[in-house]
Amino acid sequence: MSMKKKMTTGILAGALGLSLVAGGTYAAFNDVETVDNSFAAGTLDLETNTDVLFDLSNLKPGDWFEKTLTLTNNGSLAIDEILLTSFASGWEDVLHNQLPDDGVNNEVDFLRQFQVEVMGETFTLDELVAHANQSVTFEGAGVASLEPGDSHDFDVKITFVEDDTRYDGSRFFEQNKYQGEGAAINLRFEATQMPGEDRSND
Amino acid sequence: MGIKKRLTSGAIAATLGISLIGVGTWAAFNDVENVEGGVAAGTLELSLNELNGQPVNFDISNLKPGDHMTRQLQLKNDGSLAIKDVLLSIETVDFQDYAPNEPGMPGYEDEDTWGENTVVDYLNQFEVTIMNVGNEGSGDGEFPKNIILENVSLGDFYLASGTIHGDRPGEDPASIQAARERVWNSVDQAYIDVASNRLNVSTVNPDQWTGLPVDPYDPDNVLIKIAFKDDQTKNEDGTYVQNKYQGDAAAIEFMFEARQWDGQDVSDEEGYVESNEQANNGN
Repeated sequence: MSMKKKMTTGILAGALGLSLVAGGTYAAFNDVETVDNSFAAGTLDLETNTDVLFDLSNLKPGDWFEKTLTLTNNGSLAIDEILLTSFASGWEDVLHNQLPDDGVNNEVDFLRQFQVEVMGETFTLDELVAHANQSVTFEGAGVASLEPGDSHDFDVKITFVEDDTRYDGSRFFEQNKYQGEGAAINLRFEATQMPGEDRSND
Repeated sequence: MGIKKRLTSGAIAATLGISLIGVGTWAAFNDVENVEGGVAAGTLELSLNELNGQPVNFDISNLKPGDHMTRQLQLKNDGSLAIKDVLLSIETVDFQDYAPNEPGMPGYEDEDTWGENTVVDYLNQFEVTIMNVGNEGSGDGEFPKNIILENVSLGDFYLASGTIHGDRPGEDPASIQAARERVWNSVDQAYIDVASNRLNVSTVNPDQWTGLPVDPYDPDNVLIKIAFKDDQTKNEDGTYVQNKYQGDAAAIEFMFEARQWDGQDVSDEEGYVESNEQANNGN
């Protein structure tokens, strides 16, 4: 430790000693006010009624099913929009050598065999996967779609479309190419917060 | 997600928000939830199998009037979906009208023993006399069931049968219609698919054994007996009319199409749809 630092310490120690002496000697008026500030963040928490909405195998063309997806605002903040992005995975081409084209197809072809009806809209699974960040709420940005504690039910109907198109000059239906194929669909719902606002008067 | 995990995420999000403000972007809380879905198609697959080591097809030459032949085959469901019915049609016939036009060929310059005729004429010399469905039998005695009430000539079935292209190309619509009336009146009504003009050769039951279900597993055997008609009609010169068919040959393509049951509501199912293995969607 340098000489200068040592001297400073000495002076401080002396001053402290002096003030203690003064405190014990003189009376004084004073007033102390405290202001407690608190900034607590809210919670934005979207909940779904299930982790698996549907998982069906051994389906045939013409089969359909209806499932209800319930989205609940389980947080303390209002939810503005709910955006859906879907991903497909696990599809593999199953070949059928008795078919004229050996049954060659791709993931988009397969997903197109499934029609989705929800909220008055009709589209196919491949269209669902192709469009990211689709709003599933009617209110639009800036208007709460789900207040805390509120729920909304989405009735989803999915149909394995029946298509009686045959291969040219063959008894085989073209849809035979999808026999034994499957895909997993991951539906990702993103809930967004309401826009920031002036909370000065709270 | 546990409460501890959620709080941690919140804290990270808040920190992230502040740093985003720093670069002029809008702060954001969000939450992401994942829901899984999955769809998979079953398989519909018919296989034709030999029974007792006999071939499933007729491939017999050097026939004479009065000969008859019987074939059995097994219809087997090799897929995961129940088969509603198996429809039989004659798709194509490759017919060769014998004409011995070179020395050394049997019947050369002997016009009593051959003659010109059409494919329908020739096929009309053959009759389906028995077509047993469910030939393996059943406990209630309902099967084997011969769905042929009166002999059906192969020529009539050839004309009546729907093809890939619809009605038989190149044949007169009135002849087709007349042949259909004869054939449909000679076959058990329950085994006629009027929409496609074909015969169902799998079993029709009131219960879970209809068609070729996977559950309960039920292959169906079919027995077909075909006879070469023995027609004693003679020409004026004393030769048999049937002589003109000598040496003729026809390769007939029987086609069996297995069809699925109608689509059904599977909302109450989870995972593998068992009822699609059963006749009439398990109903």
